[in-house]
Amino acid sequence: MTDGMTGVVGFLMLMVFIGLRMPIGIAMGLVGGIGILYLDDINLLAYAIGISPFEATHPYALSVLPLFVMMGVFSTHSGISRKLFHGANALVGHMRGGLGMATIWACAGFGAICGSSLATSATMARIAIPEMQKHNYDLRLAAGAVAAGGTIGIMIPPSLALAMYGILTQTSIGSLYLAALIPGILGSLLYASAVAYVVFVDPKMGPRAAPMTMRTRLKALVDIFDVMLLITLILGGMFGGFFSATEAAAVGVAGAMIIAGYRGMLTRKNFLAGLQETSSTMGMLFVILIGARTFGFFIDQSGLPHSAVQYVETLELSSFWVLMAILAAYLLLGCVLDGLAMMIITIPVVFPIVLANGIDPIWFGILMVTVSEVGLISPPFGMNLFIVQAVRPEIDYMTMVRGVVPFIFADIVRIALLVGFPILTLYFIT
Amino acid sequence: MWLTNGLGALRTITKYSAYLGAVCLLICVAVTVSDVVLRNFFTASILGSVEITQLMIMWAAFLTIPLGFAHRTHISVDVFVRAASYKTQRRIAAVNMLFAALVMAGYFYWGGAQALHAFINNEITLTVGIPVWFYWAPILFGTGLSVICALFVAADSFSEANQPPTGVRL
Repeated sequence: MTDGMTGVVGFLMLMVFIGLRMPIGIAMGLVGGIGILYLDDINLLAYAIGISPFEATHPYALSVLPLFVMMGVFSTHSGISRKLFHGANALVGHMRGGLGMATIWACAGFGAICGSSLATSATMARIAIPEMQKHNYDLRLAAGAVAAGGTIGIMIPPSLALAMYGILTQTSIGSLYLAALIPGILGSLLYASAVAYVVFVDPKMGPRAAPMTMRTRLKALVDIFDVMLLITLILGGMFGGFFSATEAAAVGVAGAMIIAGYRGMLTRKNFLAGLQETSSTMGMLFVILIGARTFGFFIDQSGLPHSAVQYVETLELSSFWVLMAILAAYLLLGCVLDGLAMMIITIPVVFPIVLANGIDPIWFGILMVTVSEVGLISPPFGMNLFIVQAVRPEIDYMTMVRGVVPFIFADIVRIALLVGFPILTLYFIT
Repeated sequence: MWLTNGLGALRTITKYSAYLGAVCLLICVAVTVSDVVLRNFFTASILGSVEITQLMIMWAAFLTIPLGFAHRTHISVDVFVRAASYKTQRRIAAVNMLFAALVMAGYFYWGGAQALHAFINNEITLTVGIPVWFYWAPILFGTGLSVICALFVAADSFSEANQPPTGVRL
C-alpha cells in the first residue's frame, strides 16, 4: 500500500470510529497514532504523541476559542437574547411575517456576541417560538426561522468556526472576520427575504402582529443599547486596530460580564453555571484540537495532501470546478457531520488543494463556513433541527424539515452569489 | 458499589478542577484586558502578557478536559449506534472509553518524557523566564486524570449494560 493510500485508509477508519460514536478527538488521536506506527516506528509515534497536547494548546492565537466561548455563555446568562428579540420585533414585528424576520435579526445580533449556532438556536427557540405561536404563526415557519436563523451565528463575527479555520490554516482571524461582514449581513437579508416570500405565498403562515406604540418601540430599542455598544466595541476595536482578535475575545468576556452585572443577572448561581458551561465546552474543543494535531501529523507523514494535489492536477480542472467539487463534497458531508468536526478533519488534505489551485484562502474560508451553515439545517442530521426539537418537543421533525426548505434555498442563492462575486467577501480585505 | 462511589468522587473532582480551569480563563481575561487598556491609554504594557496567557490557557484546557470523560460529554456523532439495543450501545460506549483511556495514556506517557526533558534542561520562556515545565504540568495532570476517568466510565458502562446510555451526544 502506498503512503498516500494509507492516508485514505486512515480517513475511512476515522469515519468508522466516528460512526461508532467514539468521541471525535479520541478517534482522530487513535487513527493518527495507528497510522504513524504503520508508516514509521515507535520513536516517531512517541514524538508525535508526546508533542501533540503541547502544540495543540500552546499557540497564543488559540486563546480566542475559549474566550469567545466564555463571552457567549455569559451573554446567554445576561438575558441579551430576549432583549434583542424584542428590539428587532419593535422594528419589524408589525409587518406580515415580521416576527419571523425579527427572529432572524435577533439571531444575527445574538450570533455576533455568542458565535455558536447551536447556542443561538437553543436560546431563540425558547424565546421566539412561543411568541410566534401566540400570534398564530404556522409552526413550519416558526421552527424554520429559528433553526435557520441560528446558523447565522457562525458567520457573523466574532465566529468560533472562522477562528478555528484561521488557526488550522494560519490565516489571519481578523481578516476572516472582516471578510465575513458582508456575507453575514447578506445571509440575514436572504433569510428575511425567505420569510417574506413564505408569507407572500401564504399570508396565513405569518399574520401581522398588533403595531406597538412609539413609546414601546423606543423602550425596546433603548434596552439593547448596551448590547449594541458591546458589539461595536468588539468589532470597532478589532477592525480599528486597537486590539487583536485574540484580545477582542477577552474584552468581549469583560463586556458581557459587565452587562450581566449591570442587569442584575450575574448572581452567584449564574456565575457558577457560566463557569461550568464554559469549562465543559472548552474541554470538548481542546480534546478535538489535540486529536486533530496527531491526525494531522499522520496525514502529513502519509503524503496524502501532496498526492491529492497531484491527483487534482491530473484531472485538469479549472480552479472554479475544483472549488465547486470541494463545496459539493462539503454540502454532502455537512448532512452527517458537525461543521467544526468536518473542518478539522478535512483541512489537512483540502487546504493544500485550495492553495495549489490559487483559490484565495480567505474567500474559501468564508465559503466553507457558509456551506457548513447549510449542513446545520440539512436533513437528516442537521444539528440545529435536533436542537430546536429538543427545546420545543411539540414540533415534529417533518414539520421542521418542511420549515427550513425556503431557508436552504436562500443559502444556495447566497453560496451562488459568494462564488460568483468574490468581491462580496474580499471587499474589505482588498 | 466501589465503582459507583469512585465514579461519583471522580465527577466531583473533575467538576472542581473544571471550575479552576475557568478561573484560569478569567485570569487570562484580566491580564489581556489590563494590557489592552494600558497600551491604548497609558502607553505601557504588561511584560510577558502573551506568555502568561499561554500558560493560563494551557492550565484551563487540561483542567477542563477530564470533565468530559467523567460526565461522558465529549463530542461524538450519534448516527448509527442509536438504532442498536441499550446493551449494545453500552458495550460500544465501554469499548470507546477503553480506547480513550489508551489514547490519553499515550499523551500522558510520551508527554511526560517531553516534560522531563524540559525540566532537566531548565528550559525557560524568553520574555519573563517562566520554567517551561510549568506548561507541561497541566498536560500531565489533565491526561492522567482523564485516563482514570475513562477507565471508570468504561467499567461503569460494562457493568450497567442493560441501562439506557447517558451523556450528551451531538
